[in-house]
Amino acid sequence: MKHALLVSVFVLATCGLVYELIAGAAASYLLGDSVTQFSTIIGAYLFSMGIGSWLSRYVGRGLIARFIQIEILVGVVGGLSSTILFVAFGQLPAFRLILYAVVALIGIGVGMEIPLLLRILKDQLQFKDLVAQVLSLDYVGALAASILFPIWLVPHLGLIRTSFLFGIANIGVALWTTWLFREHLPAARFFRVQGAAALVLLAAGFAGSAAISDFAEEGLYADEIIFFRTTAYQKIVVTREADDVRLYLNGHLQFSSRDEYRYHEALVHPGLAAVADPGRVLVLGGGDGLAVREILKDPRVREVRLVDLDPEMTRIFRDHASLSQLNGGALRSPKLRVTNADAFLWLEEAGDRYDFVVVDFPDPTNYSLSKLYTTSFYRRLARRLAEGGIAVIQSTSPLFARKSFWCIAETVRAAGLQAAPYHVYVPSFGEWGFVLASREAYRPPERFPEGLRFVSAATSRSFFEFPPDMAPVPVEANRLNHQVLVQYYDSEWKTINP
Amino acid sequence: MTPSGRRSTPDGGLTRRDFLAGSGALFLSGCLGAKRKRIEGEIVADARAHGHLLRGPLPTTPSRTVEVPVVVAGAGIAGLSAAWRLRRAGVEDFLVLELESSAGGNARWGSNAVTEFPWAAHYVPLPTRESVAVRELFRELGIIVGTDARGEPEYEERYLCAAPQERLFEFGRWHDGLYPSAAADAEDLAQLRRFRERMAEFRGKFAIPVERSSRGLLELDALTMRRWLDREGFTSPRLRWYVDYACRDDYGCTIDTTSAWAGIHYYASRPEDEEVVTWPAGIGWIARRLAAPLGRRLVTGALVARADGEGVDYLDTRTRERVRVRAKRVILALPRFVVQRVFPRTADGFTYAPWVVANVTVDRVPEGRGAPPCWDNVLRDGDSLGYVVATHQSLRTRPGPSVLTWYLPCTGDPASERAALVARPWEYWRDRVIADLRPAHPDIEERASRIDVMLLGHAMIRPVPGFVWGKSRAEAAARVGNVHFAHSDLSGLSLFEEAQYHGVRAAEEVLRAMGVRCPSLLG
Ligand SMILES: Cc1cc2nc3c(=O)[nH]c(=O)nc-3n(C[C@H](O)[C@H](O)[C@H](O)COP(=O)(O)OP(=O)(O)OC[C@H]3O[C@@H](n4cnc5c(N)ncnc54)[C@H](O)[C@@H]3O)c2cc1C
Repeated sequence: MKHALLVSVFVLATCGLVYELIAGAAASYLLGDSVTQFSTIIGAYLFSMGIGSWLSRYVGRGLIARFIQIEILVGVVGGLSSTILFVAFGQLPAFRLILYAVVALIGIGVGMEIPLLLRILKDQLQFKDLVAQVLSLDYVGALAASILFPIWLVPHLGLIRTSFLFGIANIGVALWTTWLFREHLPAARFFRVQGAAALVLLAAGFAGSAAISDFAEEGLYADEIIFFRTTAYQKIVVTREADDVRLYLNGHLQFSSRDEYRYHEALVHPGLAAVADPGRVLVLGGGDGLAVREILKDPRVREVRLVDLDPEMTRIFRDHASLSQLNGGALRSPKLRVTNADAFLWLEEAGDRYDFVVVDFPDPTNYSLSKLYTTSFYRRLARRLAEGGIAVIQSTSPLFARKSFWCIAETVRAAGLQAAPYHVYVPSFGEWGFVLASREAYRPPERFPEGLRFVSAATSRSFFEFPPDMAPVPVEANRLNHQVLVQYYDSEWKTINP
Repeated sequence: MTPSGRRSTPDGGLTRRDFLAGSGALFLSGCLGAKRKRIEGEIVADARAHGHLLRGPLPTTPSRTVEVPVVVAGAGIAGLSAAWRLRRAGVEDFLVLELESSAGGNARWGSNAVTEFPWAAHYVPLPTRESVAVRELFRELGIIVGTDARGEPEYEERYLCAAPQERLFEFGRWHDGLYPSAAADAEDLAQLRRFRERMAEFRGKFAIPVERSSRGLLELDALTMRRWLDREGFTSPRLRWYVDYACRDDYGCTIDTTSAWAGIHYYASRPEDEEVVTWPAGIGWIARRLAAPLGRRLVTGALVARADGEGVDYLDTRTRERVRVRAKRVILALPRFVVQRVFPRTADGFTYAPWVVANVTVDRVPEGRGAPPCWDNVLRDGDSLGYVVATHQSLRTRPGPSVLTWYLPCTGDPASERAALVARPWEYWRDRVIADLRPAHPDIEERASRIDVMLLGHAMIRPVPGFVWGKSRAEAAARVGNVHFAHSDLSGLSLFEEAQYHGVRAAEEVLRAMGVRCPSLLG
């Protein structure tokens, strides 16, 4: 009996530390900044354990029964903890609240374990041996957990299965205790049924979590999150560190407020300023309103049509104070009309023509997105270009994805348009490229709107010069039925970000 | 600083984490006893069930008679193509009688709130030079939009099957392409190369339409495909699976029941890696365009029961009336097993493979591990051919709901297969489809909301040894007095191009008999 209970101490200690590590790891995966996450989680956890220890004094009679119930509770909550955290992060805005509630609940339960066990064991051992043995096993269990966790558990089982596994171990202790104390426990059967039910739940979770457990374990965000929303289309995260605000969509950086002006000035003005009378402008993608902000700097523009898939995106960049500050309230301009639609389908149906079109889509990482970079798409785009109109296409990096970049230029040409490729340097992205598409050959403008910080008549000429390491390479055009661009892009970025 | 693919969303839509959260939520709701989502569906009524009326007694006398110069029985691709050919020659006065409530036959399609989807044929490979009439039709329908510098047709990009086209599920993952290349060893690959070389040597001798093929290799029609593979030393199990898959896919037969001539025809009649055109409705897209100009000349719900040199009698399946259509020329664009009942001939050796087609409505195209979702998604294990994604051609960039068309050729003895088909309830097919897809898509039950099933008892003519180049097939195509025949059965290969060829051929026979002068579209 005594040894049996000491084994339990070891198991419980391992479980307890594993839950803590899981919460810390999950929080740093999901929220970024592992130092802060780990220290606040550990702090909250230890504090909760303190509360638990203190609460244990209120457990009077039915010591064993209470102990078993706490084990079942800790097992279930701990076992489900990483599932709960991942679900909450995906679905609920109150993620931090849930995170700390889970940590507190487990912490309180775990905090009660050792005091209760000490009391259960107190008649079997001398006090000095009791404390020495229980506490040393507690620390050894913690050591085992902290070594197993990074070396074996996370790489082989992943967070979700690890937590189910230790939840199961925890319930195992509870069931074992019902057996050890079968003579002193009037309601043993009742607890066994409870324990068995919990065991089934966790075992099912363990088995069913195969799909969940291959979760990509990557630290996503480094800075403080100031805005977070899951929409029907994407996960929008805005972070801030000092004066640098960053937008991430599905974990991928869209801009950094420190240098986005370089990107957006370069995206808009070389094309826009070259159009004789850019009365009507179309923006495809770019729901953050930053391109619109640049467009509105040109007083000749009378109306802007913004087509972005995600209504949430355009709404928050219009209404959210710190976000609309970034685009200077561009999305509230009376000149602007917003349409939320899938760009390809919209282009197919729309009948209007535009003098200037900004095509600012995510990089062609997959077949769905690469459709937006095909000859078919550019042919439809050409139909929407007014006489003398120009379109500009964000075209990934000519340095890191040289073939992809030149493939986009080639595709524009294959669609029967002239292509004028150019590039600029944006510190947060590196060397970045764009392609101007028009029916007539492009002629660089002499004048640009007032107040630009990056683009000027003198510097803009150099944009069109490509040094040898970015010079054209032979590539095929990207077509719906042969999407070579996905393959180029995949192979090129893989060598940089394996 | 390290660059990061700007705006590179990992999968264009939901992230892995959403997926994870989603399955987590589902799992939790499952644990909390929330009810499992139910998959609805039915065995879609096939009007060919009316076929039994052919065997029973008809009303003895017609209740009315219509007169028309030409009557076409059957509005499959062959019948519709006959009508198309007549109209191109300026003959507008004809009727097309179709048993079903809409045209299409084995090119028919369905639709629901999500998309249109095929019930059988789903693609046409780009027509070769010999398929003159198909190219002509494609020009008319805007599928071919011009001619390139080499004089080859240029296709409307939207109709060409979009990338990525094919993937194969094997060893727990999806792999690019249909040849099972994962774990193929040097010997396998050497045999594949040699096989491709052999097929290249055959190219030019096998043609679509079959009629245009060289007659020099007919001895191949006496062998099974397996015998031929044995004879040539093609022992690689991967290569054999690949060839067997082609036989099942195109003919509803295996390498044991397909003639070597037909098996080789699949590879040698078109260029290697030829592209295909396809639509959400499959070839139904073409059928609808062929049927649209017919207007009221297309009579549906008309079961043709008797035919002779002076016309046909049909049973109106709605009113149960018997109607006489008097015509100078009759085109029976019906499968041979139906012709045998309405215009009895001796026609031995026409056997048919049954097929089961299931359309699975899903809330989002399932991905699975490995290669991304393709148009054609084939499973290495099991009897089914996997599934085709109806929304693949959509220009939509975000993942959304779709319909997966799942195909099962029944390659055993046709009569017993047919008996087994009808004996099984819908639940059996639902479970079969789910069990088939689950290894590749563990989430398939959560994705699917409907599974509709169609049982095609006589889906495909079987090109068993001796059939394609045998006597009865040749005889079956020959006109009998004023009665002409059109159907892909008459080629021995179930292909769109063959059905169209026979429709056009029969119509041109009629045109000639009527004294209408026009150049042949058959090249
Ligand atoms: C599951 C499946 C998948 C296929 N996939 C492809 C593919 O991807 N590509 C390809 O090229 N080919 C494919 N095929 C073959 C192709 O569909 C056929 O070759 C072609 O559609 C046949 O056309 P048809 O006009 O010759 O015959 P059918 O389609 O059989 O037309 C005969 C018509 O006659 C009607 N009919 C029958 N009896 C009567 C009666 N008594 N009175 C009146 N009308 C009657 C029928 O309802 C039908 O409409 C597929 C076939 C099947 C079964």
